[in-house]
Amino acid sequence: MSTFMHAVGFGLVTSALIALSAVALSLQFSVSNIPNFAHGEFLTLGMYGALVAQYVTNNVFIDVLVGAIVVATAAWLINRTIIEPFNRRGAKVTVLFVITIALSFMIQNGIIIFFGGTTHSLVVPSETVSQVGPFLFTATDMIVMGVSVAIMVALHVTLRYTTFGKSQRAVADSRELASVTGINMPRVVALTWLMAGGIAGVAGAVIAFQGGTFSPLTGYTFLLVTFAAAVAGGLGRPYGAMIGALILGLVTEVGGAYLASSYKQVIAVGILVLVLLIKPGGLFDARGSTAI
Amino acid sequence: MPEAATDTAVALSVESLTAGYGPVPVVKKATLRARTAEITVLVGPNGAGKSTLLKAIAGVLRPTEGHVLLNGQDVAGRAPDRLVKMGLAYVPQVANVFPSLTVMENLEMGGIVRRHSVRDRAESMCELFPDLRAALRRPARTLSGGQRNMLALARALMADPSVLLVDEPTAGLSPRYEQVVWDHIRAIRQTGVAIVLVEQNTRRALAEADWGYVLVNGENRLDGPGREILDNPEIGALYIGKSTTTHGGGAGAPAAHNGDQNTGETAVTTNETRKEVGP
Ligand SMILES: Nc1ncnc2c1ncn2[C@@H]1O[C@H](COP(=O)(O)OP(=O)(O)OP(=O)(O)O)[C@@H](O)[C@H]1O
Ligand SMILES: [Mg+2]
Repeated sequence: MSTFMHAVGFGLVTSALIALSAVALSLQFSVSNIPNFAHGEFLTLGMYGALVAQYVTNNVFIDVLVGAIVVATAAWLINRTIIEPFNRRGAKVTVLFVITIALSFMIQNGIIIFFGGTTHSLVVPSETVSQVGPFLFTATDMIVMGVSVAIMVALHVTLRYTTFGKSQRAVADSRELASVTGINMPRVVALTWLMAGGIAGVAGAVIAFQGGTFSPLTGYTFLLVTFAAAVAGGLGRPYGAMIGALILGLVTEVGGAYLASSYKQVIAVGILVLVLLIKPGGLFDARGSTAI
Repeated sequence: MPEAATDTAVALSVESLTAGYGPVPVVKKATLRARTAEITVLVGPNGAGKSTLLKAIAGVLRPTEGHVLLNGQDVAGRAPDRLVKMGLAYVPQVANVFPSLTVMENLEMGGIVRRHSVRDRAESMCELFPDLRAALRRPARTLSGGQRNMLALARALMADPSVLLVDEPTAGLSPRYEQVVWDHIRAIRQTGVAIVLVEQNTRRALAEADWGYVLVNGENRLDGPGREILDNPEIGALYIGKSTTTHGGGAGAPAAHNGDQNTGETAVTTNETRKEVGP
């Protein structure tokens, strides 16, 4: 198989991982208005959640689900006990951003205290390789892409067709108008943290399964590429984040294949800077809003 | 008719309400009553605190003092979404629709506190506001200013309110659209809703009003039947701006001498120029 096709195959898998992470970040940002610097640690928590679950069962789907539940709970609690009280006192976004930076380091160190700073590994399902069109995918690759697509579809259906999803978009448009329209705005925000946390937990767990090993810093290293994808898609637009992830996954893997794999982060930064210079509102920016 | 007005039910009663954005109150001990199937108009200079008063009633701002009686129940300080459930709807002065939601989705959100028969009510909104029907699947950001105001009204009516607060529904509209909006407001009154309206076009608004309030510096200055306020030469000269817009409904022309005396820095609310005049 050609280097190019090989890299594109890798790119698709990477895109699926980034998409999960970026969509979670974008959804949470669009509804809560807070750029969450602790998002990387949300991913990491998902990895360790799956790790703990693996002491009980090797069923990948249950392990991923446990990772999702752990992070959903953590995200909900963080909103409830930290973000929301600050918000109610009228704290500025910059203050809340700094708080999420502090949270990032606290969670990171909490994980190191509990699990140690060394790497852990997950038992991956049997690595049968199958040919799909021009690509070769492992079973794990297939699961990762399947889970990612399933969650994107579920999110799309929620946002477009359910009353709750529509009220999420309404809150993203205007909190004040949402409230006076009769939407229980604090509840929608809280459930969005829960939902975005759940997706971030899935993202973390599948990143760990796909990579095999991880450490307390693995999620953090994904933060840059996640922000790059989310910003490329227009931060606060989950749909844009999906496309941004596809672009980033493909470009970093293909670029990495021809240059050196250590250039992937550099390529991600390059894309981020380019987008911010040329289209700060994201590639699909029609108007300057953070509409979903 | 003031006699007839006092006979009808008071749906909203605001008693010595004080509210603001910080330690200094903007609205000071304001009082306002709105009766079922009547248009109550709130006028006053720019910055008088009209919008602030509506926000405090709607629960966007927490009043520091006073009472808001909604159908007899004191609701001051309650969360806005609870008030909507209790029958209070509010259309803000700016940002009154969800721009990224379609027109239909805006209506659905308006009906979120009355989930059943949302489609039927959306359908009757399309009958009341025919402009909306053709745009149901379009994002609200693609609507014109006038259409947005219609959607904002329709969105508020989807909650089936007993009291409707509307902040400047005709701001920035062409005379034709202004006329259409007033037609709708009269139609809404016909359905038994108590309407509280803030308006820049003071003359027109008072001519339409069953009852008017003049708010100055966050305090009640005067209230009475709309035409009586219009005909009050002193108040008219001080607080009601000159307007060339001829009034639509109602009988008789507004007193002509008011406009001519409208000079000096205290004169404010004119319809044509929505610029900030005076202090
Ligand atoms: N969000 C806000 N934060 C702080 N002060 C505000 C805010 N909104 C309004 N104000 C102040 O409150 C006062 C009253 O404003 P308000 O908007 O209620 O006036 P208004 O009567 O509606 O005026 P207009 O006719 O121009 O709409 C003004 O002095 C204004 O500067
Ligand atoms: Mg105002």
